[in-house]
Amino acid sequence: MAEPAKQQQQPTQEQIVEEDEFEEFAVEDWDASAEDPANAALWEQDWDDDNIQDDFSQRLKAELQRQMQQQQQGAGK
Amino acid sequence: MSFAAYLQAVGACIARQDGPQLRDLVTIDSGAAQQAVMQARQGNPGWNPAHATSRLPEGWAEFFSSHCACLVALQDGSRVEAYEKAVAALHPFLKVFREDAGAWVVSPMHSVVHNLRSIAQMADHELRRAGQRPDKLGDCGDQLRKCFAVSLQAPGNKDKKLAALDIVNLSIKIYFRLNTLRLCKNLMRTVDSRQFAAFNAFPAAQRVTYKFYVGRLAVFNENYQEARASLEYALQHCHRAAQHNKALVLKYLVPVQLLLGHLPSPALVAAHQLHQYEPIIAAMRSGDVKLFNDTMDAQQFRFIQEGTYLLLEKLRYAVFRRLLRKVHAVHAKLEPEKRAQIPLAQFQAALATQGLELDMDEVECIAANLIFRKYVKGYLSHKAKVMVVAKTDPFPPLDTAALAD
Repeated sequence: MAEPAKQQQQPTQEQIVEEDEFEEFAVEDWDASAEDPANAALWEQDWDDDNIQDDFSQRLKAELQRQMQQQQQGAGK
Repeated sequence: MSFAAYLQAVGACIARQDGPQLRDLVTIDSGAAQQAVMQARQGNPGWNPAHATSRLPEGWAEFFSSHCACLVALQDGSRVEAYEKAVAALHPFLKVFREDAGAWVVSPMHSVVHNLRSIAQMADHELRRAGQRPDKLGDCGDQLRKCFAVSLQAPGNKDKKLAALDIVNLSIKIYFRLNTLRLCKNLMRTVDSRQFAAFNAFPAAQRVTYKFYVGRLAVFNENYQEARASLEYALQHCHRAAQHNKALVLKYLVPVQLLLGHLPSPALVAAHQLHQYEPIIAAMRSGDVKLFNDTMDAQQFRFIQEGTYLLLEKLRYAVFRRLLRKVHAVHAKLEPEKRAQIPLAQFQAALATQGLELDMDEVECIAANLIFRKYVKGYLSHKAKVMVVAKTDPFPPLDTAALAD
């Protein structure tokens, strides 16, 4: 093929659309044994908690404490 | 294979109603067919397949006459002409499909429709290069509609309905290419209807392909729950060796899952090479808005090319929400009696800690949006610059918020 380096630069609209298209499978039909068990794998849902043990939360706590103290000192004057 | 031998093989298939074998002989990729036609034309430039094919049973004779003429045109590099011949072949084929009592014609139908689409694409390529309007793929969509109607009708044998899903998939692919997505809706409605054969009656390849496109369309229409269900089906049932297709499913499934608040586990990321999502996942986990913004900036071109940029952009509010949730938790620790009243200044300070200097107007705007989009339950006191959140469950799960969009 001519100029393979040039072809790699900007994919044409056609190429983008082609890459986005579902390919024909090599086989027409299969059962569960041909599936990949890893695909049913884990999506995490319990990450969304109120845990504040992480570094950032600790820094935030320190920062907010500092701000509160400043405010109290300011109000005291 | 000589042309005579090819016709003999074809005739034998028809006689014993061997669908799969006939399908192999009819596909334009059939080496045997191409060789047979080439051989017939050798030393016989004016060769016309009509005479030789006339010996085949009625209907099939007309089909193969046009089909072989199509192969001739392809060999001559005349793709537009080949398309015309392929369309001409369709009419007698549909007649045979209608009139034959058996469902064995479903297999050859597969090749007929796939041929039509492949040749339409080639023809459009040729037209484009000649500076003409590429209208063959659109025409192919119309032809497929006829095939679909006949298959759905299934005259004489209910099992002819099993040709339908393949035709649906091809039609959808065409609509995606031509960007006429609204045409998918009616097709999909028909698939769900009682007219259609049971979904599980179709082969896995067709079911997985269909579910992928249902999922993609749902993403386009912002129905994220629907998208997730369909794309998960496609991923789960995808053949393990089909890497390209698996990657394609994940390309859309991962952003959808993120929007719904489900993070890909490290195992999933590793197994499917989803490393470009790692910073986004980290940002969502920790509420790191700066990391999210920086990642979106750095990966902008890549995500745009992959077609997921706009989807991922929607995650920004999920990251703000997470940060606010942390602020709420820290604030509750420091001032338990006032836990439900979060001073916006604290939200502002949290952002500043990440290196994001936003003025109060901007912070208030973000807070208002979080409430409006139902990421947070509460209200804003503009005067006091305080966000008052619900005492119970102020941060509903992400998959309830995304639905409100």
